[in-house]
Amino acid sequence: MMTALNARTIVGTGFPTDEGRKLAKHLLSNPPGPLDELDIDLRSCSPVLLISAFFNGFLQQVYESAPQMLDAAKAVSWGLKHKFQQDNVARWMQEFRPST
Amino acid sequence: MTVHVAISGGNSAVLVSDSQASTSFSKRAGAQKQYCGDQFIIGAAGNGGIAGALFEHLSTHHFGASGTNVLSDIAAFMASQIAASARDSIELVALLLSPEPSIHFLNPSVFTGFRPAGQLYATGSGAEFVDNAATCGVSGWMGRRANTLAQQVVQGVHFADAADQSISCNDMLTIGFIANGRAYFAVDPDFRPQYVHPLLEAQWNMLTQLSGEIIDQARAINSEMTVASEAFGHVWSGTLTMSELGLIGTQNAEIARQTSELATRLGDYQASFDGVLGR
Repeated sequence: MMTALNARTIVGTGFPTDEGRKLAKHLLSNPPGPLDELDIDLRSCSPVLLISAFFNGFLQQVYESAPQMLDAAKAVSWGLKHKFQQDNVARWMQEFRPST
Repeated sequence: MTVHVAISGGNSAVLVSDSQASTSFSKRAGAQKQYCGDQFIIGAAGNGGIAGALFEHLSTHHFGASGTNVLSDIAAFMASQIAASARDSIELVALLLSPEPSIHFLNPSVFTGFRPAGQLYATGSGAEFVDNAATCGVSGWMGRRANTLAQQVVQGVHFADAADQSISCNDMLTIGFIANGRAYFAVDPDFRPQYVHPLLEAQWNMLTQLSGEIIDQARAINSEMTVASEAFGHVWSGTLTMSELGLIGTQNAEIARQTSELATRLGDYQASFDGVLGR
C-alpha cells in the first residue's frame, strides 16, 4: 500500500543538492513506510528545486546513509506538475551512479 | 512598476515581462504589460491607464498590422490621445519582425518616435536588477549572446527572475516572442490577460497549460546552470577538483538536453498558437 507524503513540509528553498539530501535524511530517520511504497508529492515545490541535483542529492544521501536501500529509493513514486519533469526524474533515477 | 527584458539574435527575439501593478501604497499581480499582434509584440512600463488604452487601441485596430506601421501608429496615438504632461509616465518596447527580428524602444519624455535598441534591452523599475544580473557576480556569464529562441527564453526568464528581487516586480511572467515570421506570447497559467485575440481567448486554458511548462522548464534549466556555476566557483579559491569538473560536465549535458527539449516545446507551442488563429 502506498504512503502519501507532501514534500513541501520537509524541503525548503535552499540549494537543490542540499534539499534533496535533507529529504533523504528525513525519510531515513523518520520512515513513514518502506521507501518503494512512498508517493511523494512535489507539485507545490518550485521548478527551480526539481532539477537533477535535487534527485541526485537525494539518492547520494541514501547511498551514504543506507546503501542497501538505494534500489528502494529509486522506486519512490514522485508527484510532479509536468510530464517533462516525470520523464526527467525517471531518467535521473535510472542514470544515477553514486559518488564514492 | 515593471520589468521588461528584451533579447534578440539570430532569427528570433523575446520579451519577458512581469505582471505586478504597484502604486506607492499597494500592489497587485495580473497586470497585462504586453500586447501580442500578428507580427509584433508591444510592452508597456509605467502608467497602467495609458498601457490599457494603448492595448485596447491595438487590439481593436491593429492586430494584423505590420510592425513598421504599428510603430508609426503608436507614435501618432501617443501624440493625439495622451496629454503631453502624461507622456513621460510610460515607456514602450517593441519586438518587430522585419527586416530582421529586432528590439525598438520609445521613451516619450525624450523621443517622439521609436528608436532601435541593442540585442539586450531592459526597462522598468526592475531594469537595474537585470543589468546587475547580466554583468556581475556568478550570473554575469548569462550576459552571453543568446542566438536561438530557446536560449533567449531561458536567458529572459533568468533576468526577469533576477528583477523579482525588486519589491516592485513579481514572478508571474509573460513571454512574448517573434519567430518564423509570426508573433506569439506565452503567459503564466495563473494570469488571464484582458487584451488578447478572441480566438486565443477561447483556447486560453489549453495555451496556458503549455505556457506553464515552457516557463517552468526555462526556470529548471537556469537552476541547472546555477549548480554548474556553483561548482565552477571553486576556481576562485583554487579548490576545484575532478569531482566539480565531473559535475560541470554532467550539468552541461543536462542543460544541452533540456534546452533542446525546450526548443521542441516552443515549436509545438507555435504550432498550437498558429492553429488556434488559423494562420
